[in-house]
Amino acid sequence: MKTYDEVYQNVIQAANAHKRKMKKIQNAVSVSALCAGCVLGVGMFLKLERPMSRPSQTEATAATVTASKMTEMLHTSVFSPASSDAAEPTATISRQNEEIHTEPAPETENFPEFTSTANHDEKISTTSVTTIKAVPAAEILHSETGMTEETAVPATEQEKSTSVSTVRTTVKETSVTTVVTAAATETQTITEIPPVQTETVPAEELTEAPPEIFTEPTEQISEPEESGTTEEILDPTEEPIQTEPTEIEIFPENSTEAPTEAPTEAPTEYFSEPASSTESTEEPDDFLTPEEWKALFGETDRITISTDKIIPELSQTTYTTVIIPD
Amino acid sequence: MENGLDSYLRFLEGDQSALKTVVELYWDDMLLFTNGYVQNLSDAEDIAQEALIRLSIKRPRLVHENQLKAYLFKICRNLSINHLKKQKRHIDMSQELTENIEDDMQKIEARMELKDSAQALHHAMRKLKLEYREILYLRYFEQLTIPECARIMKCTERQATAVGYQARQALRKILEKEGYSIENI
Repeated sequence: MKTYDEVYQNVIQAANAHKRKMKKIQNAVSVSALCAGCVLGVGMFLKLERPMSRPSQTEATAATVTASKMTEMLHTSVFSPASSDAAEPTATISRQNEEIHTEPAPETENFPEFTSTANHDEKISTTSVTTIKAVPAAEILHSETGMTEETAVPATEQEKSTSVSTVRTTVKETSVTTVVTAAATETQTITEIPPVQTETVPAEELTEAPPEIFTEPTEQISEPEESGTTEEILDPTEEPIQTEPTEIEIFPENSTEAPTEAPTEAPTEYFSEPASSTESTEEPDDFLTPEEWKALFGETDRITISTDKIIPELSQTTYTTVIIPD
Repeated sequence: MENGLDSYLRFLEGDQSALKTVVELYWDDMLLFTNGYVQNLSDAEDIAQEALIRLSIKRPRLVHENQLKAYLFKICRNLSINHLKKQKRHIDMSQELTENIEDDMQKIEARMELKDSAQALHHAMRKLKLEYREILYLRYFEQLTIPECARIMKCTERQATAVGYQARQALRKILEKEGYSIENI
């Protein structure tokens, strides 16, 4: 049999053990809440890093696959020490006579957004046509001779079909833009990037852009514009998309229901037949003729009906009085 | 000696030694009450100890002394009923253990300094039904009111009154059989 002291000691020990257990649980709950918060925060951060406008899912996955491969190859070629002079990641370029909507590509692995402002009057000394293969990130390569040897891509047919925007540098013009953008909406895949080759074109020939080089890439470049706010979308000549049908059928033909919102001008085709039905002089079959009434109820002109049998759901008997009009 | 409520309030304020006073005041009563259910002193000790542990963990805010007693006895009752439900699946204990328990019960009664008449009542009450034993113990041994008894037994006051009357009648019959003269039961 236990003594008072034994009981007291047991009770105190049990109470302290319970207190320690609750503390452990509270700490575990707070740690798990912190971990959940961190995971959520990282997830939100990654979500925000993605671009706003996206291609379709298949296009995005194809672009992602190609982008990752291109990223690796270009990263080694572009960011090698020889091309470090041209690669100025923080500058921006505006293309002559054409604005290219550049967007960061989705899911690029640490590929920096790569722009360069060219002080073109100073830097341009030669005339060269360079076709530079696009990369997923919006990168802009400055087309100098030294750089183009490593980064420019020959304008072969195979390359034209890929996500490439060709850029031409001019000597005479003051502003020169060399832009290479990655069309995020490209669906075509690129397997390899051939070695860079440059073509020197005389300045006289540069006045007219060869159609072979610029037609397809311009088409390719214009595709991102379609996703942005460009003139094509805002063209007033285009008919807007009709969201509502031209003919709205609200009621069936023989419906007698009144519309919820009374129209200002009721179309006749909807309300002609119901209007005709209300004006009908024919009595419904449910009503009794005076002769039938007299046969059933006699000379009385009013009857009392208990509705409890007719409507069993009613909690109490209700009586209705029916008066026969003369 | 201070009453149990004052000691309990000191315990709530942080004085753990005050709980010892509470144990000394209520331990024997709780033990007898619980033993009336489980008929096993060792189990009754475990149950009564568990009731005190729950009191120290939950720390309810109580105002009256009877509230503290009612709280403890209610826990003892609930734990005893749970124990009886579990024990239905177990084998009955051997005779040696029952003899030891009888000795322990006598020791408890001696420690409580129960009069001979009270001890006779205790022995007679063991033959009663559980709810009769319950109401008689709470009402007459613990001096609890009918509302408090009803709260512990989880019944209405009217039911507690009716059970109390029936329990007294049954106890009278048992005591008369054993040869005791009963007055004012």
